[in-house]
Amino acid sequence: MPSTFALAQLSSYSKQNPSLNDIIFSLKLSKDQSKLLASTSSGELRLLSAHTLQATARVPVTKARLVDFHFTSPSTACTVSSDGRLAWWDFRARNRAIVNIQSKPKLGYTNSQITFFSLS
Amino acid sequence: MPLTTGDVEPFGSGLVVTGAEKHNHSSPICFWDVRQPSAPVVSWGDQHYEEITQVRFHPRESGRLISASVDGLLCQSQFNAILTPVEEDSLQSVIQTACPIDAFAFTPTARNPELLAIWSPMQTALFADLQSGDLLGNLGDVRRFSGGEASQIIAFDASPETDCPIYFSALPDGRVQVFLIRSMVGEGGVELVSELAGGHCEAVRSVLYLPGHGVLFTGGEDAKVIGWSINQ
Repeated sequence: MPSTFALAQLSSYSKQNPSLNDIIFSLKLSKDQSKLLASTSSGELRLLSAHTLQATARVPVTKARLVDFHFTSPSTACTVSSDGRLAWWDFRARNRAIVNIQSKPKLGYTNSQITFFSLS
Repeated sequence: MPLTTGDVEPFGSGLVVTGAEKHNHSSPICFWDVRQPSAPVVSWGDQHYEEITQVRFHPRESGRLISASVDGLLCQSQFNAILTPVEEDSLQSVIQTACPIDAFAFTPTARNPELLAIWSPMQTALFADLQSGDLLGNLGDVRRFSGGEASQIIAFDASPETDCPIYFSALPDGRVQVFLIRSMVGEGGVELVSELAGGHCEAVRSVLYLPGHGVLFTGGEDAKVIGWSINQ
């Protein structure tokens, strides 16, 4: 085991991204490590370059709380919202949600419906 | 009933799992198949009796699910027979932590590849072995390692360079403290090894630690995302 820890000498290489105005709740990295996703307090996802931290897409996922999200590829993501929505997003297709499940649990079970919509 | 957490199966099966708040005396875990999303494949309702705070597929082995809840239970389940929703047959182990679970993280080491860090809203942390289901150590309230300051646990992670778990703690002024856990028992096993200062001006909420690439990302209440290079 090393006697010292590498993180003892850290330095910042990128500063604030001016396009972000909300609290950053969570960060995720794509498997190829080229993109970052940041969830915000306004229920949005911001897609950032992991190299420059510049935002390349902005997705208003929900007006409720965005509770979880995951990259499913460098250009797609799955989101879980507190309003019961489970959605897949394709950032290449002008932020189109490709599958959107509205779960409405009832008596211990879950009914759902699928809708397709585009974001202007 | 609000959803509280979710995860995508990492081996390409198309399965997604969600956890939810308590509803009608049950906190359901639902499995979804993205190819047939009209209804959940299976709903489990008997594993937790309070809000589910985190569900995660095992990152290295298919067919394993870990769930945690405000009820203090960490459950490990198998879902090989997911199409036959016999919940009792799926539950493999239950770890009772005796405190609400805020979150957990996989923190494998060479000695213990199934090591899991678990922490609570009261800023207590402990470690468990997923393989055996045993609790391995209890750090207690980790705020004492920050000098009693109003720190908040952000994340636990593995540190391959040191083969020890590490955790990141946020201070209200934007600093992030990094602790190395050399031992899970006793007072001397937790060491403050770094402090990230001068980047954020409000509390940090998220850390992404990528030691293999010499990079760490932080995001916080000041709306900043900052990348840090790790000088080695």
